[in-house]
Amino acid sequence: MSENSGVAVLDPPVEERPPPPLRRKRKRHKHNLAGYAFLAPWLIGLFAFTLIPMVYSLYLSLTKFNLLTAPQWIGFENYARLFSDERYLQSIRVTLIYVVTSVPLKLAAALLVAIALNRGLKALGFYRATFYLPSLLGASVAVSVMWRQIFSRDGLVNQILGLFGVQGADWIGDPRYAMWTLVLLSGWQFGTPMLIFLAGLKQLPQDLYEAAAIDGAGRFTVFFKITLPLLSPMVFFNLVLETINAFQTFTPAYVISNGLGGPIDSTLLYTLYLYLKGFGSMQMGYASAMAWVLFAVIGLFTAVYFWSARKWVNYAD
Amino acid sequence: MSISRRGLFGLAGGLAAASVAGCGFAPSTSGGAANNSLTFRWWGGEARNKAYQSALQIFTQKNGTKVDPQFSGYDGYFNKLNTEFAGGNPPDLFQMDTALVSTYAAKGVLTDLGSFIPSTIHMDTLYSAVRGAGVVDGKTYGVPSGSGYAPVLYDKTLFEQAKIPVPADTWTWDDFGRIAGELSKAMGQGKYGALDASKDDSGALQPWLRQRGKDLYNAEGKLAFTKDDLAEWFSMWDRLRKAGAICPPEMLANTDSAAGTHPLIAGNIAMTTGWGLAQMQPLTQHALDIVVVPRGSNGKTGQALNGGVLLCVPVKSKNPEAAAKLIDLFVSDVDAIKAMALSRGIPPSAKALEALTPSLSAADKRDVTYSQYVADEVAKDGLPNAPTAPPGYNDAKTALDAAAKQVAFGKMSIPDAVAQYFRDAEAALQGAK
Amino acid sequence: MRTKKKQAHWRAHAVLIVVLVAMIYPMVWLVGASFKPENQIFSTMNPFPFAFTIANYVSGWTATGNSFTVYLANSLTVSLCTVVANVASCSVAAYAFARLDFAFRKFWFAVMLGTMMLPFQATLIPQYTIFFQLNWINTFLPLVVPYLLAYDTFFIFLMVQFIRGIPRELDEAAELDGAGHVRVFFSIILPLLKPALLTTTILTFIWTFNDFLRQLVYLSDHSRYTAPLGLNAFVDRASGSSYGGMLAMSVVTLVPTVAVFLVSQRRLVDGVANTGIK
Repeated sequence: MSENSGVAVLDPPVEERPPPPLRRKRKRHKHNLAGYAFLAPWLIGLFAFTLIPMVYSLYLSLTKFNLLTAPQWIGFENYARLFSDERYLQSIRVTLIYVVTSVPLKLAAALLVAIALNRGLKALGFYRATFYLPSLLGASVAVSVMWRQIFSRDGLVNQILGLFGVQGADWIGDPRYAMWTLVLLSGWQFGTPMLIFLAGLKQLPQDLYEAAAIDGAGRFTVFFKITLPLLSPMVFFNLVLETINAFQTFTPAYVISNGLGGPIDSTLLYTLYLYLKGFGSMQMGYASAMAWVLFAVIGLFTAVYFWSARKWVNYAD
Repeated sequence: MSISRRGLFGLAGGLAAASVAGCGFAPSTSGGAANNSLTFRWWGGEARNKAYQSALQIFTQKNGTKVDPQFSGYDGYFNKLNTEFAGGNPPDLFQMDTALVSTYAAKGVLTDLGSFIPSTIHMDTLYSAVRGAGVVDGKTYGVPSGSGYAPVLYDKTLFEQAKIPVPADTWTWDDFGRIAGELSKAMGQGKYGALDASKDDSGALQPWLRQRGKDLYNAEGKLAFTKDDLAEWFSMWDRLRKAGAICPPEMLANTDSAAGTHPLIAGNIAMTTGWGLAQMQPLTQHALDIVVVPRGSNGKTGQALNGGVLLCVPVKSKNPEAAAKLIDLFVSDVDAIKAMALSRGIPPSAKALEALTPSLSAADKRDVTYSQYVADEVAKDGLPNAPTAPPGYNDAKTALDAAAKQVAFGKMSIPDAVAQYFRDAEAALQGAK
Repeated sequence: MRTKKKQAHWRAHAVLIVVLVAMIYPMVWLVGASFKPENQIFSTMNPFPFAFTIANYVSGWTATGNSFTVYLANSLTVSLCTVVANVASCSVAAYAFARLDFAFRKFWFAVMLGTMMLPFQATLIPQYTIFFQLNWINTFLPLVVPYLLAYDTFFIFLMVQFIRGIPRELDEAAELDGAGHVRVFFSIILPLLKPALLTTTILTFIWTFNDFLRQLVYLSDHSRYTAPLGLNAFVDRASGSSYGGMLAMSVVTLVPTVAVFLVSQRRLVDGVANTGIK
């Protein structure tokens, strides 16, 4: 580990690295051949399996397509219809609430547990495994049955609340609360970002911590001055990916509402409505238009993240 | 540091395991391309899957045609099917929801089975009332594989505990409300006499409408009832809800799809529409039983026989002749009928029932006597058969569910909910044409 | 001093245990329910099976036509192949993005991120059509081959982040010694990327093992069904269901993922802990 990158992280405002070489008008790239050679497998897959279907779905978004007969060109009509569709607007509301609550909850839980688990406690393997266990379950029928059983009127949650004399609600059946059981389910399955944080923590240079210990830095100082800045690439990654995932969340809605978005559309997530429209009502053109609007929104969020990243993400390279 | 030897061994082991099961990477040999094979797709639970597979064995023995059984649960079934239709690769024969056949027929992707009737498919053995279940615009696109009347399912044990006599087959909607109210009182706080069925189109609203000489849809695929009818329907349930006779709407979550988490199984309600004994009884220690849906004040049951599920052949089927033969196996082959017993619902023909009767269990006999009783009662109704559900039916059904729950949760007044239903349902039926 | 430290440890354990109980209670319910007779799974709330039975496991194993052994073998095949393909292809692409300077790098990086932003439901049908044209339907190929070509860009991005955490001085030193990109990649980057590779292994395996919709769409022949498809065939709205068998086989299906997780996370944490970058 080089000295200067560690210092730069400890004291970010000071620019220690040499300034990047001035851009010339005609850029010269050192590794064109090697770069494209290493990138070749991905590029082939990109064109074969990803871009063609994407372009086709963009075309479908401009058509009326019922899956069974050939698509008919209707221009931007699907897009125009979207914003007078009340259920569509409801799905946007639900999804935004879900994104802004579940992403911070999940990331905070993942980061805290990852840091707690990275310390030399005995039986750590056991804890790590059990914390990850919920994420191993995915979203199968069994999870759905289990989750409903726990949050039902006579379920475990209300039995515990009953001990404290609180009359619990019907958490999944009540439109006021159903959404929060969905957020809780996603928070409960925080294993993926936790694992990524853990792997990131493993990559941190140990000598910085030793130096900090010699300097007598407190636990919080170490966390905020060393751990968090060094971990920022992973925080950034998890933030971007969990946001993308949250916008596209689909399977947890199956657990809560059997894929119908109920009660009274209170858990009608965006991609769930897209799926119901495309495959249930067989309006794939309309569903494709929904997909591309979502694409634009996620793209916007990601662009903002990347723009802000310059200010707070520190790379070692 | 390098990648450890153990890691490499693990990798090699994984690859070895992969090559053993590697046959999964070769193209399937059992496609429907050859003359003597057929792909058959259905959805079902454990019981139906076993029953169908035993029938398919009989088919292969008798005809020499190999059938590739492709089954799954209902989740994702139509997603896969629609993807295959869109990609031009549907199965040779598949199971269809009665409610969706007209949607597919209208798009011209289903084979008109008329040319196989009566030479290959012996439709005349079916009950006349179900023969039309797969008929759209006078052409037969699907053949029913089961039949049934939706009953009211009730928890006998809870009735006994509450010391209330179980409902009689002659009961009316007034009796239903009264009994539900008495049950709610006797069962105590948090428990209710009946499930709110205001959202249940085929199990509750349709008989109620037919009792009044109307129906959900007419033969032209339009709504066959008025806003006043629906307002009256919602008001009836609203009164019961306010009186505490039926469950609050919070209990309605997922009552349409999952038997296990249904409030009847938890003992929170005593009566529900839309479910049968076969699905619910295995899940509870309470004794359950079924009774006819409440009658109208004129004594009519209003019940419409439903064709259970249909068997359909896509236009792109690679082997329509064999598919038609397999359909006939379900309709008229005595060995296959015996092998399947009641696991696909009540068989849709008298011939099948006769073949089965000697070997039925007590619970199955109950199902059979019930369905025969209802058939006799329906004959007394003297009502026309219900038309096949029109294209766009699924969305119209969703619209009823939405409107009924808006009322139940108190989010909408009854007139507003009725207006919303008519707007959405009419748009769905119109748009699907 | 020592007792104080011990006390702190006990407090940490106590907090962790309370959180853990809440975390794993659902699993306790799941396992408990799988040992209950079918008519008590939902009608009794207690998670513990007082009328203990293994009938669900016995009947569930063969209930859906094929033995569950076949489904598990298929799932393992698909998952292991996907893991190998994914780790190999994504690390190569990630190296290019993180370390190599080539024309349109930023453009391709943006494209890579962009492919994650369109929900998969929208591209399912065109993808199906492509695989149908290739005559790959009803084989494992549509599930595995895309991963050989770095289809899941999540992992490219993940590895880019990790590679950028490796100081450049290391590859520069190797380059001064005359190492080419291939050697830098294999002898410098890959060994230091081990935490990311193990993470990718765990996540890819679990996600593939639990994937339902793609496997449902591409596999039709039930001798090629995977475990999630087998589980899906237990329960149905209208024909008789077997919740007991479904829950029992869900527990069985958890075993491989738990095993892979335990083995890999041990290597991730213990194997890398003290040898990290110096």
